[in-house]
Amino acid sequence: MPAASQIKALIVDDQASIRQVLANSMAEIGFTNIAQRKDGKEALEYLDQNPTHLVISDFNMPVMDGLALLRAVRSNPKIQKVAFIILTGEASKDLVQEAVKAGVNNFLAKPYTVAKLREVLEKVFGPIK
Amino acid sequence: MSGDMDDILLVFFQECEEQLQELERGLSALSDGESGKETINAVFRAVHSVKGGAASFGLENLVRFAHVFESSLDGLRSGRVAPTPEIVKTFLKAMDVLSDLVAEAQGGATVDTGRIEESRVELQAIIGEGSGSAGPKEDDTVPADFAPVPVDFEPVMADFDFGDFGVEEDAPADAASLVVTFSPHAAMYDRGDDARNLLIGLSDVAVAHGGTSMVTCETAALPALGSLETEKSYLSWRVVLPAAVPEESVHTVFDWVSDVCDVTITRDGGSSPGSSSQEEPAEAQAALAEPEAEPEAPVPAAVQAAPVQAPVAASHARTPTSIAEKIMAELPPAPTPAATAPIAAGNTATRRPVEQATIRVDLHRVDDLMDLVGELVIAQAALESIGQREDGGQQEMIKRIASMKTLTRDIQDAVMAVRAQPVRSVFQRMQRVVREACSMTNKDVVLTLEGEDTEVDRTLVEKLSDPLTHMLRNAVDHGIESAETRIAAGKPPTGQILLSAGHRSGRILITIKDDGGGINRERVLATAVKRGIIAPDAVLTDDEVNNLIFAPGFSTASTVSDLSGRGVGMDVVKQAILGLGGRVTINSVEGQGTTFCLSLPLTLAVLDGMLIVAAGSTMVVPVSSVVETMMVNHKDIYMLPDGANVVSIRGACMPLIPLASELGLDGYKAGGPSEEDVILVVENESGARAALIVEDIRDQAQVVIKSIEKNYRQMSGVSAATILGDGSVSLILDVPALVANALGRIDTRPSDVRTGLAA
Repeated sequence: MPAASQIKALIVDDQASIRQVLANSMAEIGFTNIAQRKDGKEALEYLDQNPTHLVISDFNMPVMDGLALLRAVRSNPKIQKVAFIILTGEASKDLVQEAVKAGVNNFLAKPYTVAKLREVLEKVFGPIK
Repeated sequence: MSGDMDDILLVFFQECEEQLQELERGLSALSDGESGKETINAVFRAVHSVKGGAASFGLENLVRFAHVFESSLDGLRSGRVAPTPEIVKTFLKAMDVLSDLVAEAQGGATVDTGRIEESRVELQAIIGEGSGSAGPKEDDTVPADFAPVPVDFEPVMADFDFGDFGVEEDAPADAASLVVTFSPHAAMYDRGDDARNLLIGLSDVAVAHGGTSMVTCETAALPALGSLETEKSYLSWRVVLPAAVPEESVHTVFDWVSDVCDVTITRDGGSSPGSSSQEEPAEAQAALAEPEAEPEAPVPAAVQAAPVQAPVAASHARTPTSIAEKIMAELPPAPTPAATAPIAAGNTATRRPVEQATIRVDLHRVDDLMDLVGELVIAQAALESIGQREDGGQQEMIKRIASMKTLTRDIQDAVMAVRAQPVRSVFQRMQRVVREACSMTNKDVVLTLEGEDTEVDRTLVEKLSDPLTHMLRNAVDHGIESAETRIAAGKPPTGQILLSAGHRSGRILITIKDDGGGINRERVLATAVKRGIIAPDAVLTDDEVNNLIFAPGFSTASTVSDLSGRGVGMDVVKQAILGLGGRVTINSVEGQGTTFCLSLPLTLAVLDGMLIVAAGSTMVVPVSSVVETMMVNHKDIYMLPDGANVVSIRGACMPLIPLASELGLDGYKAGGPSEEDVILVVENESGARAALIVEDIRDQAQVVIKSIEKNYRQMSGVSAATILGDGSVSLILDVPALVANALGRIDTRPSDVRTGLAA
């Protein structure tokens, strides 16, 4: 049972407000280690340098979208094991299937509550202290 | 938390602003026939982002509309709908509604539901037609065509336990060995340093941390022996050190050669073989094993227990199960606001109105400023040391102060650069203004923007919006002719307006150029006479006639149109521009169009001032309003019957205003100007001139504007105050107001026809 404070997380979204809302919600759950990046490219650069357990990424972003980021993560042996949750506002079936194929761990739909966020995370990590 | 939320909300609205600009850019590109994938994606993303953010903040109206908008754009993205001009027009209209809804969410005016509805229907019609098949029936509460997608997906457990990274937060404990690669430059060898010493150093470090170093020499760059130059450096090394070695000790090894050697230090990944645990936490298994009904999920199908592993973990013991076997509608459809309580729900009441309190600044501009401040600190220290010198250091002091002056100027420029903002945001808003004006007047006009990247002080950018809106409405309404008239005149039916910005000699120049009918001077003249703005027998130059349209209460449109003929037309524009310290000029060719030029200062914080003396006190006259200066010559001065003086300068008479008495100061000598006095010929924005008599001109300097209204109250003839080098407060004169006051009292009409304009 991991403690939330043990999990090193990275939030990827092009909108600072969305990132901040998510970070606040995660802090409420008990996360203390939360980094933020604004697109897939920056996220990869971050992941390359910083051991991370969890990525929560928006799907639709400029430069490099969430799906491309997911694929890049999964194909890089160094970071491929990171848990990956896609944050999305649209439930396009294609997207979901693509993401599943690429090895996504879970989805988080916007808008969400803190309870929902916890639930989504616990599906991936098991109960979080 | 609530304070946090407010801040985040502000960030969100700022982002909305950016997204809307992005949307505008994209849609204009589309309407120009540029329908590349990138453009369409950008447009889609902009609306999508607004929607996503709005959903998180519980802004229901915004979400609902953005959703419909997004769905139609999705039609475009998937290729079901082609971006025909009509459809792009619908999108543009929807964009206007969307931006109004954003404003509404910020506490602006409520958007007319009829307009929203109209746009919504149009948007839905687009995908209705495009897809052929009717989407799910629309419903007022649930956005249409957003049926829950049954998602064949089961969450996947993360495949690591937390031993991987250790409980210690900071130590990357996972035996992530430290990899050092370095390649010395030739200069290092020149200096007598040897790579061998570095390798020994690294090896010592490794031993000190209870391990050994593994060294590989990279020889790929080594040329054939024949072409090998002995003076050059070809080799590089890769050294793997034990994980326990801190990076600092490696840095210490390279301390002496860091300038002549390329070094990279990385931790080799946390996934080194054998380190990953294949154990699933038992609780996690249990969590997965329990089928959970999703409270919001419309199709809570039973979740089967078999855990699925991420593909990367496929080599591990468990078998990946076909995902398709599980159905879990993990993604709820829609921003149905009732379904999920948005995080910010309680917060919507505290929305703040539009004012933006933060700016985004290029990092390098802040760095530049920081550098300069560093210089400032050094300069200050230097001055201090001079003060301590025995001989007083006069010469040195003067030198230092001179460099301090340069530095101050540089810092001022750097701060200005921080505050500078491209006019793009305002310019793009004008697209909408023109669009609306077009639909109201039934004209077809294309607005072309140029120089949107021109930067000006942000306060100025915001204040430009109103005058530009007025002028563009005017250009569409009065400038551009109806399509029939245009065709009859041999012009293309679509009118053209060019809005451009650029820097010119320390000011910003904005031009609005239309290819319409130009100013009809006869009609302008007739109207001006009819309204009593000028005398029937006045003889005016073309330029002066053009300027009449800025006169208060002037309107040439035969019927007062809905759009620009509200009686507050161009004179208000002119006042606004004057208020910003700017000038307006008109150039019009009948039948070919009209060009308005606005010339504005780059900032409202600093101005170039002429320091003059009146009644013994020093005052500031903005250099921009001074046309020329000259000595008093008594033979050019005439006294009018009412006791006022006029001066004739090269044949043009203008009122002669003793500044001191105009301001009600005592010091002015009776008996008219003396030969020692100086005349400043000043001009107000309509070109009316006056001569100010001052006692002396002391200097020309940049002065910092301090508002007087904030500290005292408004005074006629004084626009602001400043603080001079000696610490004294000095008034900045409002020349147009002074001239207007003077002209109001002195009638110069008999000797000079330029009249009335300054009234």
